[in-house]
Amino acid sequence: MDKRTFLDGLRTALVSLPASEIDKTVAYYEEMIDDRIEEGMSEEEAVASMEPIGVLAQRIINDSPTVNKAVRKAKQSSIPVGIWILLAILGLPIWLPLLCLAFAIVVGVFGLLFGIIVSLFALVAALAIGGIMVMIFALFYLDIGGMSTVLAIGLGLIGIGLGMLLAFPVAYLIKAIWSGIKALGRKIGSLFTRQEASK
Amino acid sequence: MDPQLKRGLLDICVLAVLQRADSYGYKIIKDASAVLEITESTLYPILKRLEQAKCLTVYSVEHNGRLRKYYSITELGRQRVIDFLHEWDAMMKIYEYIKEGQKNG
Repeated sequence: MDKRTFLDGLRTALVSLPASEIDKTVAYYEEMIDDRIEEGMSEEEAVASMEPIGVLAQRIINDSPTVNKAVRKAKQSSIPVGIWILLAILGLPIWLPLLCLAFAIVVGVFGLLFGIIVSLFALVAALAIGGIMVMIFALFYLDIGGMSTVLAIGLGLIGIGLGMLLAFPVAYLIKAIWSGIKALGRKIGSLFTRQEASK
Repeated sequence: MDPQLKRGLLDICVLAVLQRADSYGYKIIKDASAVLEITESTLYPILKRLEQAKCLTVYSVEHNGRLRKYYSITELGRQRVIDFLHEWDAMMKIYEYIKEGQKNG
């Protein structure tokens, strides 16, 4: 086996660890192999002198602080499940309204943000469409002619112009609010999923 | 050797290697192998543990066009070796006591 194959295999075997941990481990073994090659071993020999990937990976995963932390955490919460259930039932009048309130706030905030997006879009659309309509009416339906038609066309052009002018900042704003919504969604989502233990 | 005992000894052994001079992974293994059996996969968690405990620091040095990590013992690491030697004095007394009992028995 050559070095690349060995290190790629190791990387795959360690997939359950955080990415930074995998990089560090692979760099460590790469250095070990390089040092052996430098000492006169061939690449094949250097790789062969390592322990099998399966054995290595198992030992590293067992020793990784993430696993230790998870195990320790699991051991720490030694309160019987029954007590948790009892507490949950007794606390129902308190936590249920709070939960409903929190849910309502979340829905309200999302609704507000969506509302802003829709109204911004409507503003631009109304200006542009309104402008076009004023021009069409001025040209084909209003039998007034002369200066009034010119005025109406002018107003229409102003509407279209404003719409086009506002389209860029509005598009930017909508994008910003949208990414805000997504970030908020992720944050709320992460409250409910188990946080990966970090270093 | 008892694995628990060996684990504790390995930490001190690595620190003892570094007490002589800063060193890198492969050289630590070669040096420590003189007194204890140690492999890459046993050394790796030891280095990590000692670094987390601030018993050693790590720095990279360019060597033949690649980076090699060097480990350097800290004051805390040196203190740990001293503590170990003190503990060992107490251990030796227990050892003598056990041996004495063996002779008389």
